[in-house]
Amino acid sequence: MSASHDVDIDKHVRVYITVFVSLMALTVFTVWVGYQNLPIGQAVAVALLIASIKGGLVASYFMHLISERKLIYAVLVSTVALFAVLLVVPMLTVNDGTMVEHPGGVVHTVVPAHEGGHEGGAEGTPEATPEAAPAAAPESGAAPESTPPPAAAPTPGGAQPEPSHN
Amino acid sequence: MSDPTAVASKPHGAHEAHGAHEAYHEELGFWRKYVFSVDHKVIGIQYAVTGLLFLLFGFSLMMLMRWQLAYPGQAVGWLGKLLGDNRMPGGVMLPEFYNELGAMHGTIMVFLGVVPLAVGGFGNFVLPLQIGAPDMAFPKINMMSYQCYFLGGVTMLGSFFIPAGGAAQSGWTSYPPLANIAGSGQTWWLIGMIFLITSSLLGSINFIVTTIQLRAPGLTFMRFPIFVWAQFVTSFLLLLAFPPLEAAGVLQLMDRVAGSSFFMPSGLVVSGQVAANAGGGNPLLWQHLFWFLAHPEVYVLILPGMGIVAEVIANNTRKPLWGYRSMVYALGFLGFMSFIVWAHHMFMTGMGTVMSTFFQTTTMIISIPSVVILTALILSLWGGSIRFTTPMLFALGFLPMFGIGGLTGLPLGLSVTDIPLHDTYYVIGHFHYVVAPGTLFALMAGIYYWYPKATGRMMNDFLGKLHFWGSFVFMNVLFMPMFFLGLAGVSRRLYDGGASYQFAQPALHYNVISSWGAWMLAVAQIPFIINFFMSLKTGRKVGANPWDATTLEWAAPSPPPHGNFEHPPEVYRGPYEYSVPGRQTDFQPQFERA
Amino acid sequence: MEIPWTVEAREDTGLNNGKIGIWLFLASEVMLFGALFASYILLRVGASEWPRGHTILNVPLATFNTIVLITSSVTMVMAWASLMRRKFGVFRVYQAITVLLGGVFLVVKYFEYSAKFHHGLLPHTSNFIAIYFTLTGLHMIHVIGGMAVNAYLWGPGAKLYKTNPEWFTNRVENAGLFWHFVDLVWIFLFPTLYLL
Repeated sequence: MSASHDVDIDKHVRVYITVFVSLMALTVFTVWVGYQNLPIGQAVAVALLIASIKGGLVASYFMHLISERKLIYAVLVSTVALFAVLLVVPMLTVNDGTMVEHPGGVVHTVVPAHEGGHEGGAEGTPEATPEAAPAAAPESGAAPESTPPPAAAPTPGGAQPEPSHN
Repeated sequence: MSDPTAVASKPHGAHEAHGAHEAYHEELGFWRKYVFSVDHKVIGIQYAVTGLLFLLFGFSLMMLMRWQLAYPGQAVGWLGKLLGDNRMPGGVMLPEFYNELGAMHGTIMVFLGVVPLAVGGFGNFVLPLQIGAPDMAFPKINMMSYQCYFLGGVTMLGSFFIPAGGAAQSGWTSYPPLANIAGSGQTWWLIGMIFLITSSLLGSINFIVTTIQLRAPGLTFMRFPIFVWAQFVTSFLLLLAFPPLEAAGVLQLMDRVAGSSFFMPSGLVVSGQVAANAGGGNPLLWQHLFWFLAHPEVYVLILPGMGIVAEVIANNTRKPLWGYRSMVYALGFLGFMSFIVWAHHMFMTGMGTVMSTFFQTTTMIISIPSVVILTALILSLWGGSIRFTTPMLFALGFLPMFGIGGLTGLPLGLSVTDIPLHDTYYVIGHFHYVVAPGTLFALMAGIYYWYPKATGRMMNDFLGKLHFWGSFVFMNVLFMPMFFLGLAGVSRRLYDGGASYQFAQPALHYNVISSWGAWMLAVAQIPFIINFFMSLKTGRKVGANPWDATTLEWAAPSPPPHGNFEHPPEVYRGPYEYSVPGRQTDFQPQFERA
Repeated sequence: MEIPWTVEAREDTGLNNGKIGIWLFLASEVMLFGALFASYILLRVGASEWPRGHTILNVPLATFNTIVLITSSVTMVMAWASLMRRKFGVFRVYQAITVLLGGVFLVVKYFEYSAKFHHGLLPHTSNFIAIYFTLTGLHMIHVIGGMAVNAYLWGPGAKLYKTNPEWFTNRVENAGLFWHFVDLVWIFLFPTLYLL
């Protein structure tokens, strides 16, 4: 190995130690913030921010991403974009409520009282099968309003009724 | 862009090693040569043969079901004796058994049949040859990928023999809460899926690295055959879309085995009794995770087929493909879009209009690249000197069949028209048109096309044409009536095909037509099965390039030896230089210098 | 027959096969853990009740584990750097420490899980506990896998250094990428489960 390569590695090692110290500090910071019991929205934002910084440091310096080839970046950028889609979109199709925190560290979801969160699509289904989907409601969490869903009636022939989904 | 005249430097003397490796190869025992081989060609054939066997098995399950659909409740004595009283007492199919057949037919065809054949079989065998590589980048991982598939297959097949309840019965879609509370076959299904997903992931990594790194000197990305592009995009779909289903599988396993409630809502009542678990879960979570994979999965099902059709059309029209660049961009765009349309399978789950609009829009947009590819393939025929070889017949048959399949998907992608069609036979008609006379025709084209490369012998052309015409006619007899059955409102997954519903009575005869279509389709496969085995011994022997083709795999001997090429190939031009003006022959291979 | 670009980088891509391979694998792992995080979000947002993490889980123990894992990430990258400097002995020390720290993580996890079982907190108790076990359990399996690879490279695998030091260094680098990823997942897991 050439001498210049050794010098390169020396520089890298200094960077690793710096990153290590930063990671320790950020860990302490994030735990401290955790104990401050911020409202849930702020807590999430701060925790995610700190985690992203820590993660970014690990990825950039320990995993050498900062000096990596475009090809690798391209793969990762696409992956992260898809990851974001997966994180966000299902929630958008399902969540109609807002989160409210109560003392003692319990978080409730409150759904608007006027309907169970459905805006469209479910009415007018030409379902001839006996409606046997006790789990059709996307929300399981409307505490003040939850009523036991209709019981699944046993069908002739003993076949399990199938939920009407594709 | 690499210099086409440069030769890639190899680490050690490749020629000296060649002789030594032949000697090494002779020393491999039976197991290392045929069962645990690390040669991509052997692995490709393993995948292809196993895949074809599963296709046959999955088809057989359906043929059983089609009796029940055409003649509900009618006994088949000998079947009853064969399958026993817990499945067909007195020869009459139990609804539970019907559900097993349905769930496993879908699972086996998609995960054990089509994808292993299209990606594992054709991808493994053809891809390294088509890019001029000696093998895959990671041969041992390739071998492990097949073994995982094999284990997954054994698990799925084994689930039929579980004493209490048999195989999975909750559809290939395994929706909770039903799948959560179903018999132990569902647990086996989940374990089987984990094996299969692992196999896929290992394979996709191999394909991507191989394509990027092991292509021959002079083979730039825009000189790739369309088949290579198709497999490349497919591999990314598999790599990034499968893990969420793996996660979902783990969650469902936890629900079933550890008693968690990821997918079990609060207050669930089953058969009159309140369910014992903690609740708080969401069945829609499963649907999101499942469809996040399963939508890209349908593009995994079609893309390799499109790639094969592109190769066969170029070769049998003796002219370059029309719109090469458009096809490449369309493939890439299709791959990207396929990740953001999944909830069009979930329009009926109560999502709000904003999200519904989002998914309808992306679904409409994704039809564009599909149409671009189909149009380019059709336009490629214009002005061609068409050779109606057997592979070409299947490729030509693919075009209108995929067209019907694609067009019938449009009303399903718009939520308003999806409302009456969702979960009816219309959907079954739509997706079978795309996969059966669509992808399967393309795969058949591939088998007839590349069989001589793999074996050194041609398949019989007469039997091939018999196979094609029989299949073409009976595919349509089998699947066309389903659109009408669905438009009449008959739901899918009914064990009597709708017979117990008043409104369905006028449409029930479609079931009979479809069933006879299925059984005749099976008969039409007999020439193929005979041809496949017979040609191994009696097929006309051929050399390296029996089709006068232009792509790199035809530079290797038929069959190729270990290491594939006698001399490391180099690429001098694009993949479809047919009918080049001024040449003696009507084709100019990529790998020939002059 | 040799597979080209196993050790050296191919000129036009600038990469060797293994490095692309491991990054692709990590991309798939991002999607795997991403799906579980998405599940966590959906379950939490849809739940009528959800506890703040620190009311049930042991934050000091997990903080300690976070420090352990981050440290092991540093020792891992130092192991690779030592190989780049061709200091095999130093590599072995760093590699051993990395494996040992992984072991410490597992031991702490053992105590954490035992305490939960002891208090009757199991997956069927609530979805919070269920997702906690699933996320940390899957992560733990990855820790074990990473440790196995690292131990192999410390032990029998290290023989490759004598015949092909470059190839061995690449393998250690790729193993390191996996190990850093395991650390990365924990960096997000820890606040999500324990502090929110």
